Amino acid sequence: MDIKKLFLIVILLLAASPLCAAVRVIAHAPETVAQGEQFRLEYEVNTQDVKSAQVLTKIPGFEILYGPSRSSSYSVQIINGHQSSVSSVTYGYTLMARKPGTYVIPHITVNVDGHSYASNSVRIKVVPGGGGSSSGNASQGGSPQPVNSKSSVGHISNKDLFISVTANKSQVYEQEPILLTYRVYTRLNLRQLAGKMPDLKGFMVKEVPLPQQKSFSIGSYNGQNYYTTVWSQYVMFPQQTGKLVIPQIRFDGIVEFSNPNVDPIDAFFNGNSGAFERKKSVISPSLAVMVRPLPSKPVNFSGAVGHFSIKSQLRTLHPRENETLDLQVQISGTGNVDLIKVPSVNFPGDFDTYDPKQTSQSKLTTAGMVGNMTIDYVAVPKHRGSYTIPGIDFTYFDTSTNSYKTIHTAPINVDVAKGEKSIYSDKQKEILARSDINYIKTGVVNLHHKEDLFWNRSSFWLYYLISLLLFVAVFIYLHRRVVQRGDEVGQRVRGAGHLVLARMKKARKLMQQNHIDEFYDETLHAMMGYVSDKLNIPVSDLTKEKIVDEFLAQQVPGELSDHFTRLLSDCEFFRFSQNKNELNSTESVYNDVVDVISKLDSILKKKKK
Amino acid sequence: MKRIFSLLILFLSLLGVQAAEIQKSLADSMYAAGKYEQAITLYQKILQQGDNATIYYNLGNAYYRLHDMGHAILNYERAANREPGDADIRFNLALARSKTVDKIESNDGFFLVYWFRSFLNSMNTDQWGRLSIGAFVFMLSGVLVYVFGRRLLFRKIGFFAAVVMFFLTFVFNIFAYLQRKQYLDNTHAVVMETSRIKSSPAASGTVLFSLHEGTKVKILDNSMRDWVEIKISDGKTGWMQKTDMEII
Repeated sequence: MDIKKLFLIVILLLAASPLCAAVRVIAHAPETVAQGEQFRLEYEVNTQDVKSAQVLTKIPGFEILYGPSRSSSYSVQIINGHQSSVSSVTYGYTLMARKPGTYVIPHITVNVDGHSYASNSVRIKVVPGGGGSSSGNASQGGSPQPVNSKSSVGHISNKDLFISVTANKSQVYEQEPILLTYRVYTRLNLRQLAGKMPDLKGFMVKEVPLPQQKSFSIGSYNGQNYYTTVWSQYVMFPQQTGKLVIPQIRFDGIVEFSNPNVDPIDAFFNGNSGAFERKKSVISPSLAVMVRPLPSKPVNFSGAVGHFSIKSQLRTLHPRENETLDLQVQISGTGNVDLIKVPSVNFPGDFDTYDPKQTSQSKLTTAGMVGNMTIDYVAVPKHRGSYTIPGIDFTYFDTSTNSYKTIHTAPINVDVAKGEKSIYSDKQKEILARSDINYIKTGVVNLHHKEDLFWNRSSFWLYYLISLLLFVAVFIYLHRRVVQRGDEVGQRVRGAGHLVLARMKKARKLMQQNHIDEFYDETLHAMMGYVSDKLNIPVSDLTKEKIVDEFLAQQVPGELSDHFTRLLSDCEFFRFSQNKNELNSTESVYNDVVDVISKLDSILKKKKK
Repeated sequence: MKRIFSLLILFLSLLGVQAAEIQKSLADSMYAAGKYEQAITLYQKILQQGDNATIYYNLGNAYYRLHDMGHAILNYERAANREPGDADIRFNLALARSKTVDKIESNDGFFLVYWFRSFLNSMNTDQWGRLSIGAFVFMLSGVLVYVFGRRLLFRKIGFFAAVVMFFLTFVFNIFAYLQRKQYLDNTHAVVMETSRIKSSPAASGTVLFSLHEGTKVKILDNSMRDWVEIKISDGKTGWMQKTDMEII
């Protein structure tokens, strides 16, 4: 065999396989039947290529009244150009239950294209036949017909329609869920029924979602057969302890009757079916539940009741300093998942922690809430290094052992790497690095009034005034001094003539007393002093040349200038000469000096003016 | 022990004027001994007699030690209002603020305004006032040097000094005025307990946001009896219950 052929076979087999897999044989039968009731058992094969089917000749507990009957159906559907066909073959049996009990109808095998397929097996519960109901009006097929009461039409007794309440536990612990089941029993054609659980103080109530379409089955109650169904179910979480009562609930229903006095043919043609509706309220009984308090609670009790498991996981793979780190803890199990108090995590001290974020997911089941609570702990490590986040303890009340249980997570080691970004500014870092305040200020303080400020008070402006006055005083003083200094010079110039006269008087006296040396000395001083004062030149700077120059500048005649310098030379000469007897000469010198100075003075005075 | 202390306090208060000084040293020693409650009582007694930034600062420290951040910040703020240039006060205030819950992004605005504020806050009213007197005295001295100086260089220096100091005298007085305005201004408050900020001055108003202990708020409208309109540093406004805050 070559490879190509092999491939072809494999492909054909693969293509055929979905067809083969699609063949199903399904058995249909009502769940509950009454003793003596006729019902239908059907095996449906979803293909028409049925070669043969196993024929049931005997079914334990049931009598085969008719069958098997074979019927086939085929339908083609075209939706948006897509053609699909559905075909089926149904093998049907009509059975009647002989004895009460639960029976399993064995599966049959069907041969399709040489392959055999097995059906599912069906479990049927047979309840004792009773009441006036089913045996007479044997229903054809599986769908139940309304059971008309023997009482007069339109009248509904409490035996025709009622509701029972059952709880799965009569004694529970606080927070331990109770399943409450409201079951409707009726013999009538119930069209509508509505009733709600009111808000209860002692319970947190959650309704179990049930299908909107109720399917009734036959059940017996106090030896009577009824159509019955679970109308609503609630899971109750007791929040208080003691004897708690679930109150009566009022259900409002609508029941349909068919009027037996109406001729069916007439009803068909006149559109009056003869059916009419009646309203009926049904009160469900109340129920008491004993709620025991939880045994003395441990300190770290989380409030969770049920059965739980815990696990933790570090979500941040590469933690860095100053970046957030996410630790996720998941608590899952059965119980009051929504009411769990978040366990605390002891992060190392160097971590900034924030409020954990919690999300819970739960599904209501008849056993209570099943789900999980996910808690995200967010922390920011401030410095790099190796840290250990200790394990988290979670304490709950285990309802299976009726005791507290503490479960732990494993400690987690965290290696914090150096971070790139910093959430703090430099100044904030400096502040945070020094985590304590500066010490109080000790020492003496001056108390004052709050409104009492130095600025803008009169004493404040007084300082301005004082400094201004001081300024004025200093100004006046300095100004005066300057003026005075200016006066001194003028006086000196003006007084030069008087000074020289006074000195010459003194010289004359010295001459008369025959102190020749002193006379010349005084005369010389008088002349020099006069010139110094008059020309405002210090005595030490005076030389003959300078005097001549100055005199020239002051337009003193040359002969007078010469005379003056000659007299100066004479005085110096006679002062140091030994010849002191020439009284004449001293007399003449004196007269000459007085003469020259008076001439000079008159010239310089004129000049000044 | 406590009795002796209270007797001592009674005795000291009888002494009158000097009591405050002794009370302060007593309060300081209480603080040093870790008896912060007693220190607080004493500091508050001193403040009934008069006003001083140091007392507010010490009081703030005592509250800080008791982890009462609301009162700690309130008193640090009061101290900073009196001595804006004090480094200790500023540091402790910043540290206490870092321990509060609300971290509000503040928009300080233009950096020059910020600089000017911090320059203005480097001294209080009276310090600026004294500085203005100093500048005035220097200005007058400059005038004297200019008028009576013998040498040209001195006279030039004197002239410029006088002009600059004249200008500074004005500036320092303006600064003193601004500081005084800021000091006497009572339109700021500190949140004392967690408060829900409402959109309208009524308990039924919508909650806009929450503020926590220690946050500084600006008062916009204080005319109602129970409610105050406030503004926080990021610009958000709302109504707050008066009992939740304390005016600085």
